[in-house]
Amino acid sequence: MTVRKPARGYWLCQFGGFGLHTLYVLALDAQYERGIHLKSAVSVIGFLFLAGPAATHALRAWMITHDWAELSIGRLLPRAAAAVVLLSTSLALLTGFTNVLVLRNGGWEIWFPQATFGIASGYATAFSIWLWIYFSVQNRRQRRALQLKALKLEVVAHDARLRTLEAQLNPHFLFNALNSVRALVVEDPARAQAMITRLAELLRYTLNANGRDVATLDDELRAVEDYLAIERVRFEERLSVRIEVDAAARRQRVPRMLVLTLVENAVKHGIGRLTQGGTIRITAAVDRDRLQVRVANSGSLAAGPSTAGVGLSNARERLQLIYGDTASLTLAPDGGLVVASVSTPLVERQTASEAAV
Amino acid sequence: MKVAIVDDERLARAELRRLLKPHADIAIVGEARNVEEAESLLRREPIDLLLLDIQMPDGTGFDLLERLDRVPAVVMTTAYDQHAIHAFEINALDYLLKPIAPERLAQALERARRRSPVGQSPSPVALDRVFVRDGERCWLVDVAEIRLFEAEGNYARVYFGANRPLILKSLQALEARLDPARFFRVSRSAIINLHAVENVETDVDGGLIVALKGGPAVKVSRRQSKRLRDELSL
Repeated sequence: MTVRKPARGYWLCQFGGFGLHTLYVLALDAQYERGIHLKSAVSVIGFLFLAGPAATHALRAWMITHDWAELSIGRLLPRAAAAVVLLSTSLALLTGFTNVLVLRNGGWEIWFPQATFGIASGYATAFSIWLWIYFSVQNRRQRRALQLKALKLEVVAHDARLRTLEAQLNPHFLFNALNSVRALVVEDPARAQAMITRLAELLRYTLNANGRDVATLDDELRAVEDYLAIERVRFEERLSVRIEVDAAARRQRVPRMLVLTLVENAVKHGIGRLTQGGTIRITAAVDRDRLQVRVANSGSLAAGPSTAGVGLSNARERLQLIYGDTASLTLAPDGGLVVASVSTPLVERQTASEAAV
Repeated sequence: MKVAIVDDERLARAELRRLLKPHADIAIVGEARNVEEAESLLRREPIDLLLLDIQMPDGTGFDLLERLDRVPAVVMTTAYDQHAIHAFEINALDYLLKPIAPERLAQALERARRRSPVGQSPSPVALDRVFVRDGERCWLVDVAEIRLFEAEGNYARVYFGANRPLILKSLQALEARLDPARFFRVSRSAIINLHAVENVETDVDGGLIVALKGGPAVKVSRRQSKRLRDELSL
């Protein structure tokens, strides 16, 4: 591993920490010797304030090149202890020799062994504290990085899940529609043309041509109208439709294809099962701070598990992913009707991506 | 060939009629919009070929086949349910995907012609093929392959090959429809295929026990034992 450039504040901490330690030792010396001695001060400043940061900086380089950050506690502690003992002892000996031989600051008997031993233990304490701080900072930084990574993964998974839940047009519907259009081409060419236009509009909407997964209720209802117009060609007099939605509700945002999924369900599992056909009624309104959308169809709820459950539970999970617990989707019988109700909080503010479009 | 079209969509029926027009030997004798209409149409008219949609308001095309006493040649028409047809054990059912390609229709008609040769229009009474469904598995079984019908409540258990699914038909109804030269009612609870008899033993009480090829052995009531002796000229 290559030695990184130290983080911002590293040298400040180095000289700040050892500087404080130096002042402390100078103060002690001054008290002990009743005044500042130049030679002692030079020794303390040289060996603590300058050699301290230099030694630990070298130690840092060694630890990085030898991947100490990856070691388990059991393998790290003996190495750290050995490093502390080695560095402290050699610096203490160097201090002693320098004072006796270079600075002529007292004789051998003053420095060895007692004073040197005291200096060594001072160094050891300082280096231990230094290592403790160093690994605390490292640890904290690693934990942050892991948390960030986990968070990013979660966002990616969330997006992927949402994408799989996004509703698509039922292929059964699509091929039946094409079959009807082919019959209409001979029978009523003008109507066939209109139906092809509707189908194109609907496909464009469901293929999400503008890449957004939310739409205004107005856009969504336009797609629903296209869809129902095509189904009316197939079902003829068996399907009638009523849509009652005011302008305030139409301005609100809904997950794309949500209402369309409910309407598709209502046609497939409601009207499609009635020999005489029936009515689909779509209503929506803003109620205080919530948008309420209802899709009601003639018929009764099929007993037992049915394929209706898949589209519906996907829609429900999608709502949960987008709104958390603040949205709901229910399907219930209501006096000869089956009613799907969606309630979502109002989306007041455009998201950044929408505003950019 | 006499053809019936069953589909809940008027436009889909119109399209099929238009596609069938170039085939001179095809006579469309009826149309139905749902399972119920189709059932009564098939009871009224002898049909050689049924063009049958799968999804209908009151049930599926398979539900219809299950209710029929006599299953004609069938071509299923579907927009996207071919997987339902692939579930078949025996590939006896042909299918067409909507919108239907004229060449594919011509192929399906040709296969149906081979299945029911012209001039040999089947009698509307005799049961010659039954549609059987057991959960996910379906069969279109030639009656000749069935060795035993066994009463089980309102149902009959049908033995053929290694299979023994249930069908919703009473033994009385079956007996009335089965060829008497081949099928014999041995007791209140069983009809056997005489061509499937392996051997016959006399029980201690003087009745007969008939072992069928591929099993099982069934007990013959005393009253029917005498008739069976005559039938098999024992």
